[in-house]
Amino acid sequence: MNNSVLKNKVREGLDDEASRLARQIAMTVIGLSARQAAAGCPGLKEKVRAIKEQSIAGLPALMERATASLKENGCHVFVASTSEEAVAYIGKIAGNKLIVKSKSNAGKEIEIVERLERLGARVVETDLGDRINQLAGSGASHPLAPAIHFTAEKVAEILSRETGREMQGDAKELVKAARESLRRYLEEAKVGLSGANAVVAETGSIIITENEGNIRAVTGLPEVLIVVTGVEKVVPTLDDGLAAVRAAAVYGTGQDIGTYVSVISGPTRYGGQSDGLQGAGQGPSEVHVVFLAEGRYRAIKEGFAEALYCLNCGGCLNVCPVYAEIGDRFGYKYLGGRGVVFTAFHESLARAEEAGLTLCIGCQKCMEACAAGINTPEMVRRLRAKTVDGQRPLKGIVRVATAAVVENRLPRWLKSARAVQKAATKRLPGGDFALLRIGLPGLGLPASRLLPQLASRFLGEMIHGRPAVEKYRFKVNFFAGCLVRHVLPRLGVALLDVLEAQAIRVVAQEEEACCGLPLLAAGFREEAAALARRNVELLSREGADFTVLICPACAAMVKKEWPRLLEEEGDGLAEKSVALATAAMDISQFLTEIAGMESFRHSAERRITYHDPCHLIGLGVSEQPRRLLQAIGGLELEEMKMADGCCGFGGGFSFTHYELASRIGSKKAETIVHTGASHVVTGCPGCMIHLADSLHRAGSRQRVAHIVELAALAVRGGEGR
Amino acid sequence: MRQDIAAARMTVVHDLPDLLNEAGEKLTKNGCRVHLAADAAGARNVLAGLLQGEKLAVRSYSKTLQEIGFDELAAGLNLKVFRTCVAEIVMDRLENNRAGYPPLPLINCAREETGRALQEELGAEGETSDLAELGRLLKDRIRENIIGSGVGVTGVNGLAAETGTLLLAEEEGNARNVSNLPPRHIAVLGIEKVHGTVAEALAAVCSAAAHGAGQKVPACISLISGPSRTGDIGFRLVYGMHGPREVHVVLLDNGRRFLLQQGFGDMLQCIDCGACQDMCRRMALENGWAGLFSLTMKGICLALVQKRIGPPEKTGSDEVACPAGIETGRFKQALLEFSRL
Repeated sequence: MNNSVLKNKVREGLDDEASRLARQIAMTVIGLSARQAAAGCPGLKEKVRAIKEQSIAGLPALMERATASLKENGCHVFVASTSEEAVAYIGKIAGNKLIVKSKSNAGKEIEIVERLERLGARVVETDLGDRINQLAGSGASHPLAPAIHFTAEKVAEILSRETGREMQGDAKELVKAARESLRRYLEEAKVGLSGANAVVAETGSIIITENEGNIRAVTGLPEVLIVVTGVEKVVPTLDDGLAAVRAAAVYGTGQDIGTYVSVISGPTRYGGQSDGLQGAGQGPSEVHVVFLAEGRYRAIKEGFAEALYCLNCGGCLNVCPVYAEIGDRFGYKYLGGRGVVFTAFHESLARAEEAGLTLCIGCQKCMEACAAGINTPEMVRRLRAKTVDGQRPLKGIVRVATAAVVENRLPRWLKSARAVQKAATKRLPGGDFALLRIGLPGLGLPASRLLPQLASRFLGEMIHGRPAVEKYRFKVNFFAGCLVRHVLPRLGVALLDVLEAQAIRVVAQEEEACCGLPLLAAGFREEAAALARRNVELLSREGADFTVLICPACAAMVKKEWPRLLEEEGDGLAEKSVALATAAMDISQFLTEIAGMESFRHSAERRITYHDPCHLIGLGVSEQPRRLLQAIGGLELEEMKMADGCCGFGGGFSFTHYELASRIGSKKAETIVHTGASHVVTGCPGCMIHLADSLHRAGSRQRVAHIVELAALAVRGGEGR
Repeated sequence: MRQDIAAARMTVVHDLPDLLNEAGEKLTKNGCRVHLAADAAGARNVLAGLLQGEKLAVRSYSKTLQEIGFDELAAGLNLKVFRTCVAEIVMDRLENNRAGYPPLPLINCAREETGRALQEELGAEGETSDLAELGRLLKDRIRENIIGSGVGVTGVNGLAAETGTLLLAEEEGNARNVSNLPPRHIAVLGIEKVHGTVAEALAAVCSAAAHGAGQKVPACISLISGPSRTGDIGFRLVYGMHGPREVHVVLLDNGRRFLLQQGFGDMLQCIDCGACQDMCRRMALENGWAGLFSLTMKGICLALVQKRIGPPEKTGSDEVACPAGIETGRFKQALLEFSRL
């Protein structure tokens, strides 16, 4: 894969200031709206998920039925195995005509506008935003509000040129002018070209939704209608189709239903029941439905059926921190992580890498915002695994390193690394962080980047010989994770202080291996499984009641990925991994729901704000940390805007895409600075590191703390940091 | 499916006042203007006000528009109204159509008859006797008028209270254009047309098509939830991008609440599917009823209550399986009851 292609795209995206500003306003407004609307429709996501699972699982038969029903209704049906076939079919009908077009992702997929224009056709976009862009020769800055990067004055300029009338930036006047101008094309055009939100197999119906009314006009005025859509849009019943279309509105724009929903089941007509009068109605007398099949069946065959559950609602884009920064450079034809996954099957794995396979930060915000709950980060990881399969030397190195970690040789290396660290970095006051003496920007390590220090004593060394609690209510494993063990061991000590004060016996094992997330995220599944295996063996032998964690990234591995990785293992390992997963939890959940907080006797006077780590939100834990903070006397909590917005770390992401990680981080820093709190508290050591770097870049003196440190203060008293 | 629809309709009638409130709120929230009309005269008043200043209106076929005497009102206002439904135009000009006609298949119309009807309609333009050509000419004229009109007036097949959504179902596609191309849209409906959810409304509308026109689903269903809008220019919300900037919804009572109050609300469960059409036509013929706007059990009850028709002498022994759960026996009871008034 040519790395520079992706690097250039990211650079372009980061530099496109106008587009970025516009896009972020759109995302904020629409994102909030969508979240509220989704909260008001409980059960809708589950319903849509079930419909899509069923539809995609039986796609060939469903397509057959849909084709038959559409034909029964008098439609022409063409299933295109490739984009070329689709373009050829459409070209034959519309080749050199005047065509009015409404929004279509499928149309974009086959580049229909460019290809038709090459054949001599004239294509007029009828959606206002798309038309403005068409006239200005501009790309779309957002799928739903494509021309939002233009000011009203600029739009006036563009439309004045088109209509030959001088206009000012009054939106109402501009809309009126656009309406008149486009109405003429709509009246004159012989062909209408649209997409479809859903196709119903039982009734042979096309369902399309919108707010402007241009789709009703495109499908209601010209005598020929061509609908382009993917085979994955087919659903069994009309009720299913309605659910899909409503979900697209709820999750995509935050509306409970689009202003217009059209259900089209064949050409319009009158009569036809007998020998008597029959003829074409006011709408199209000829309807063609062109299905795009390229890449879809391949995705299903290779185990990525979930990628086809997408409704193209854009809900994921409303919340993706990477899309926020670089827009349509993330993805290819279809945007964001879901677009990258689709590209792997529609084009190739190499193309998917160029589209941004490494750009998914793994924050999982898209899953929550998705109408069908699609697990895009998981599919991205599985595709990354395919890319590393072919990389021999790298795989070999990783394999050797993993074996070393399993055999607990890592701490020895890191101890040696401490000496190198002293030479290569200069420590900053406070002790937690340092700066490289010579920057390595190519590795995401510029000289300005705050880097965590390897601790002078690792956790094992700090707690060596610490007596275990004699009388205890529960016995728990403490899975500390690499960052806690080697960089922030004081957090591990804090955890021991807190839990032991609540009469909990804690087992922290020296031989603990890395949880495996960095390997899994990079695509090294087998190696991650080796680490999982080792850890499950270690943790299971203690007969502990629970496993407690203070790193949510590790917790996500323990609870979700280890069972998945060890599913096929024998020797009871699969069962053990499930048992461990069930009884594993974040410290905030453990304290508020199991252990209690009676030992919180001291207060910690601070004005704080709280950052929700993405992995903790992914585990459904956001209320418990706040309850925990409430139980600590003296704390004044000021919530930041978008507390659950990603900090930008993403582990390895912050090294392969440091500038992107910093941009995301700077937004987070802004919201933290705005609270005026003295500390930002969070539940993840990874977030802590990046938050510190981001706040440093923002010139803020605010400090970063882990929630367990505050809990420890409440238990032991003292000033803390 | 039939049981679901009947059950849903029973619930609607049972909750009618609350549903109408909800519908009104949602319609208003969507940007529609809601008008309540106690009777036909009230509806005509509202429309007269709304149509002031308009030169040309287009309308689709609607029994409710007939019920309130829309065409006559327009004539009185000197407003030109162009009918856009070919089936209605042809049927209206045919001699043997008398008693009104829910969902319109142009069945049993001989070619010569329809040819003559079209020639009449087209006037000077209709010089040919080629049926296909006549049809094309009429289609073009309809299209011109819709495009040139300032206001489109339609009925409504259903109104979903859940979201304030109007449902229009048809074969010809004219109602879609009438409700989309002119800058203003007026929709008139009887209050019994309300449903709970969009899904229920859609199911009822499709069920009606299945019975009435004998097909799985109408060729074109439009779900309308407010005026056309765009925020594409600087997020400034502007109405009337391609579709109408104004949508008026007139909710007509005209005896429906009376039916409910008199304990015959089940007559309002009707979804206008036409399953009882034959029975109702026979009854109309046998009793010499003219001026029925709707050949349904509901329509006959309303006409009786509105005093458009006199009490029946014969009710016959027909039984109809009504998808909306209206029992023929109850219908005949209602006739007796209202005849006494």
